[in-house]
Amino acid sequence: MLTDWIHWLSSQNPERLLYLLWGFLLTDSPRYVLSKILFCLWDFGERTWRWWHGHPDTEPFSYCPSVTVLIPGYNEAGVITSTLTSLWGTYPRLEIVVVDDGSTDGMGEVAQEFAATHPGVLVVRRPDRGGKPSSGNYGRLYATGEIIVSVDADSHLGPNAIWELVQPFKDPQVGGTGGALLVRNVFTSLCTWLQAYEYLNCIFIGRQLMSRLGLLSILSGAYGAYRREILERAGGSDPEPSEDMDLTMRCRRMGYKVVFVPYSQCFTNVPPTWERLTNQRLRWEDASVIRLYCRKHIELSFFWLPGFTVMNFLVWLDLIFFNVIALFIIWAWLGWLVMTIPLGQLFWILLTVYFSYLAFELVQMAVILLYSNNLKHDVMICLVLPLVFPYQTYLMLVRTWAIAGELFYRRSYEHPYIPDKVRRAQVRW
Amino acid sequence: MAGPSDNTKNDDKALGLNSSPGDTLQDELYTTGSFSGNPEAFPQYPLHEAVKIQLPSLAIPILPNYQPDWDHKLDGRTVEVGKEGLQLKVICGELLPARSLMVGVQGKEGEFRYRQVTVVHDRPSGSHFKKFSGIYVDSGHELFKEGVLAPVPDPKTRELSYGLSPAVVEAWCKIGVLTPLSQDWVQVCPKCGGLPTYRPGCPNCGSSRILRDQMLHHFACAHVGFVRDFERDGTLVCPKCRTRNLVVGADYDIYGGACRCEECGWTGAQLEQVGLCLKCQTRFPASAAELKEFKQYRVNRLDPLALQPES
Repeated sequence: MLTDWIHWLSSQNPERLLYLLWGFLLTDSPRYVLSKILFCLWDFGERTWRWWHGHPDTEPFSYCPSVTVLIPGYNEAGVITSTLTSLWGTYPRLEIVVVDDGSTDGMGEVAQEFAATHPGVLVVRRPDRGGKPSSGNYGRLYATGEIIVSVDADSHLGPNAIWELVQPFKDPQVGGTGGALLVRNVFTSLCTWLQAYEYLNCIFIGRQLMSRLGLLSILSGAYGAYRREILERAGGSDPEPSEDMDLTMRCRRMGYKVVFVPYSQCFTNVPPTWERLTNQRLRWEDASVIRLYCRKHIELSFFWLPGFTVMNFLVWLDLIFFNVIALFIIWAWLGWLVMTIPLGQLFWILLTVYFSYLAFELVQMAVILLYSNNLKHDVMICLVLPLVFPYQTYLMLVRTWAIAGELFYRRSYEHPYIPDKVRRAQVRW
Repeated sequence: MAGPSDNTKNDDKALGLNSSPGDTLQDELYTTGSFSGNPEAFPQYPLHEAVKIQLPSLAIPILPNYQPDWDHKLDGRTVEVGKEGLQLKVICGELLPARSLMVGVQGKEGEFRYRQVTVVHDRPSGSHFKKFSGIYVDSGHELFKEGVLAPVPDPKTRELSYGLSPAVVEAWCKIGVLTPLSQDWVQVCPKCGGLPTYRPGCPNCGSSRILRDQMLHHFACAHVGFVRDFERDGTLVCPKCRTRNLVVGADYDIYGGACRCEECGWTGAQLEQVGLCLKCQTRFPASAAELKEFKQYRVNRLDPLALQPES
C-alpha cells in the first residue's frame, strides 16, 4: 500500500498537490510550523547577540512583590493538602487564601488543618456553592498581596514557579502573566497522553509564540497572575465558563500587556476518559470563541470606537479565523474533495494529509524538545506523535459541535459547571 | 529490755493524761506516742490482721519542710504490715529521728513501695534495734496520695502546683519514692507565668468586640462584597455592574463573611485565640504564650491489702 501511495504521489506535480491540499495548507499546521521556525530563529539570534556581548544567559530573580495565591475549590479534600504543600514556603512574601466554595467533603476542614500549622495560610468558606468566578472574587477580599495568583486546587507547582511568574511585573505595563500548564497524569491513559502532547505544543510553545507577538489571548485560570489593582478595576472574574479568557481580554482592553512565562510551570490532572474530555472541550469551545469573541467582546473589531487597538483586533481576528472560519474552511474543503475527487484518489489524498501533518508535527516536536526543561519526560510524551492527527481530527469534530450549539442554541448557558442559581441569572450576550 | 522512759510519764502528767493501763488506746496513741502498759502486751490496734514480711525495708524520716532526711534513714529488719498500720524493727540508736516516717518495703518485683506513717509507739528491741508501730496517715494529710502526682491549678497563686515545692518533689523522686511518668508542656503567661484563659479575639488588638460582616454575592456578575457596599437609596445596587433593585434568591444571596473589630477596625476571615492571664490580667496572643514544662510522677505506694493472704 505504501508503495502504491508513493507511486501516486510521485505522479502528482507540486501545483496539483497544492490544489488538492489547499484547505489543509491554508488553515492548520503551516501556520504553526512556519511561525515556530521563525520563533526559533528569533531566539537563536537573540542568544547569539547576548553571547557576543557577554550578557549572561539567565538573569537572577530581582523582583519580589508581595503575592497572594488564591485557591478556590469545591470538593477537593483529597488533593488540597498536596497543592498547599507545593506552594507553601516557595516564595518569601507569600500568603495563601483557600476558598472553600460550599464543599460537602470536608475540604475546608482539611485546609484548616494545614493552616493551623503553616502561618500565612487563610481558609475562608461559603455555605453554598457559587461557582469558581465568584469564589475567586470572594477570596480576593482577603488578599493583601500586590500580585494575585490564581491556582486550581488540584494542581502543584514546579520549582521557582512563583518567582518566575512575578518577574515580568517589573514592567509597569504588564498587567498579567500566565504560567505553563502541563499535564501531571500523562500516562494514565492514551487520552491523557495525547492531551499531554497537546498542552506542550499549544500551551508551552504556542503561547510563548503568541506572547512574543503580543497576541496572547488567555492566561489560564488554573495558573495565572494579575496586578491587584487590575482585578479591582475589572471587578474580578465574570461568571463565564471561560472566565480566564474573558479576564485576560478585559485586562488587555484596559491597556495592559499580558505575558506568558514558559518556565513557571503548574502541573494538573486532565480528564482520563474520552467522555470527560469531550464534556470539557464542549464547555471550553462553545463558551470561548462564540460567546466571548462573537458576542461579549465583539467591540474589539469595531475600529470606529475610541478604545479600538490594532493588537486587540489582531487577537480577535486570530481567534475568530483559526477557531471558527478555518473550521468551516476545513469542512468546506473536505466536502469539495468528496464531491470532486474520485473515491480511489481520496484515500491517497488523506494519506498525504496524514504524512504532511506528521511532518509538520515533527518540526513542532523538535521545537518542543529544543525548549524543554525536562527532556527525558518530554521525549516520552512526544512518542505519541503518530496518533496526534486522528486526535486533532476528533477535537475538530467536538469543536464543530460546540460552535454550532453555541451559535444556534446558546448551549453554554446550560452547563452544569455553573450552579443553577448563577446560571439562571447570567447575562445573555 | 528498756521500758518506757520516765520522761514520757512526766509528759503524760503534764498533759493531764491518765497513763495507766485501761485508758483508751486512742488517747495514748495520739497524745503520748507511747504505750505505758505492759511492754509484752504490745498494742494490737495498728496490727489488725497483719502480715509478717521478711523483705528488705527502710524508714525515711520526713523533715518539717517535707523533704526526705535520707542521711538519717533507718534500715529495717522485719516488718508486719496491717490494714491500718504497720510495725517495723529498725536499726536505731536511742531516739527515732522523727515521728513522721516514709516506710518502704521491697516488693516481689524488687521495687520499693512506700507509705507514710505516724509513729504511735516505739520501744527498744535488742541492742541497736528499735521496734515501732505506726498508723498510716489518712489520705487527707499524707504527702503523696494514691495514683499519679500531677500539678493542678492553685486558686491562690493561679499557677500550676503539686501542693509541694518543686525541690521537695525532686528530692523524693531522687530517692525513688516518686517515679517520673511523663513530661508535658503547658502554656503560661509570658509576663508572670500564671495560668491563662483563652477566647477568640482580634488578631491585631486582642479585642473581643468583633462584628461579622454580611457578604452579598451577585449572581449575574459574580461580584462578592459587603452588603453595605450594595445599599444605595433604599435599594440594592451592584457596585460592579450597577444592576439595581436586586432580589434575594433570584439575583443574589447573603452569607456571613469577614470579621471586623470595633476597636481597631481590623477586618479578616479568622479570629485568633487571645489569652488573658488569671494572675496579672495581661492579655496576649496565644502564639506569645510561654511553654512551661511539668512532669507527672507515679507514687510508688504500698498497698497493704495486696500483701494480705487470699482468704
